[in-house]
Amino acid sequence: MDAPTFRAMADHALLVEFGDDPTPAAREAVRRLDRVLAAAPFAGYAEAVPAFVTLAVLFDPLVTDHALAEAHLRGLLAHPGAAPAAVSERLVDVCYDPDVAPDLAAVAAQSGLAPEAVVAAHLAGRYEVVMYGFAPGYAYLAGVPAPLQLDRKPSAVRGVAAGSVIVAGAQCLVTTLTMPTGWWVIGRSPTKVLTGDAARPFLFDVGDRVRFRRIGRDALAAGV
Amino acid sequence: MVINVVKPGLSTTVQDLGRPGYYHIGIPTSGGMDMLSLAAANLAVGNPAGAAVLEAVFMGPELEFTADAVVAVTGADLPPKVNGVEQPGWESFPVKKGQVLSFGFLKAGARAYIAVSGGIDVPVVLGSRSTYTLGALGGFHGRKLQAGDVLPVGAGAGKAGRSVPAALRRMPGSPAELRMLPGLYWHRITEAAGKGFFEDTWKVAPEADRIGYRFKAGHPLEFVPREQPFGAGSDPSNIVDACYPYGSVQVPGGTEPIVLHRDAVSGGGYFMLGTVVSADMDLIGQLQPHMPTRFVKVTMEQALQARHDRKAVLDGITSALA
Repeated sequence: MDAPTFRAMADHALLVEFGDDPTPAAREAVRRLDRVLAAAPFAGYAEAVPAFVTLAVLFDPLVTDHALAEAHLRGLLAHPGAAPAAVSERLVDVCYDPDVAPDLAAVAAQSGLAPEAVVAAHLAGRYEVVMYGFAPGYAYLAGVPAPLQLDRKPSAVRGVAAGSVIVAGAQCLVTTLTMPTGWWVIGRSPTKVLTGDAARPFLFDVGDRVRFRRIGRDALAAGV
Repeated sequence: MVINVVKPGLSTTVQDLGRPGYYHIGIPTSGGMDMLSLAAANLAVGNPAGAAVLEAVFMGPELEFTADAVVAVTGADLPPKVNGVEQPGWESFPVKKGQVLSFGFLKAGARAYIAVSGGIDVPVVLGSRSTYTLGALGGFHGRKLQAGDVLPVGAGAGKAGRSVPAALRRMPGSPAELRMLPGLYWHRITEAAGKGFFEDTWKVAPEADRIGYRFKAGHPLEFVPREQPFGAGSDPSNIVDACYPYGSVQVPGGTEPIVLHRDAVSGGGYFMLGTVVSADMDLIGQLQPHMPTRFVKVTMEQALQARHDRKAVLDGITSALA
């Protein structure tokens, strides 16, 4: 991994950018810096938000500034040290029945696969939690197989139900709120991403591996 | 003691200084949109600056007090009344047991902060009492107030007759001026588009809430032709998904800028044109729809100076009311 670039993002934020290609190596570099920073924060540090190729480092500009934050981060990068974090594997149930997968046919048409082949390809994917974004509990999963990687829809569709399994590009996501989205809805999951536990509000940690397991309509209705 | 909500107003929520530390899992900080006014209301009644208050948007609630308390209303010019008798804004006044606090029509600004001695005593969720309605988190059952709600208030004596000095009441002018740092993706728009962005007078769009403020009536941005990275979508305003800091300005489709505020979405795939300086975020909270607004280009040095100047205002209010 090449040395990252540091860019002022706001008066209270510094962006550390590991290139512009969302590779596994870039993700690991982001995550490693996030971990060592959490273990050794600088004065005025607020929090850090990991994404595909970037770590946004937020701080209090009345306490510190971009240059001091950057110097601290460069020091951490020079001595990464920290062992890789333990990786958990999470299993997420998904029902692909047409009434809860309104875009399955469109994804099939665009990818040149039969709808059942789209389901098989989605189930065969090995996914990794890269970042949270957009709304609470929206964990972005990387690892959508190549044939299913489509551009977003030209405009967002409103009122997509909570629990929808949606894809766009190489990303997949299980929604936790009823919200608009321009991604493709290919299934519905009863898996509780919101845990109800205040200390650990969501099922996933960044870095977790995720697999999908197919369930039928009855199991979805039962909220298994 | 408790407060009975007779009428809830348009969108009245419990807010404090917010819930930092959870943005990496998509939970925004929430808290008062106009933090300076929120802190001033608290300090005027004798609360700590960060006690929980009510944030009322455009229209005030009607509240029945079940015990004596001291109240201060700051921010928007939304005249408070006790049993129909008008009270001064930015100044603490007593409300007796059985009296009703109501409000006249909005004269200026958008959000009034109603501090009650002792603070609104809803449960602390993830370190804060602030309401995040989209996530149904914090505040009064995670939502805006409704008629019939019974709001718990903490114990606290309070002091009436204390006024925030007029020179320290910070409200937007007309047009409102929002200082902005050009952002990481500034190079994606043409030079003419960048110049036009700062020359245009924008208008606050009706879609302006705690998540973000949208602005319209300026010229659409013209993009420099480029190859999109794979997965970033076909629209030139798309990027590889990343964190959106508080205050960041997105321009979906290049037409209408959106400044993300206290209930911001934490990340996504639109490019950021820049960031409104943190010192001016309070002012956005006081903008009504259709308000003319200009974005003023500043350097990082000016942004940091603005932050210090805002801190000096808060320190001034704190010492004036000590």
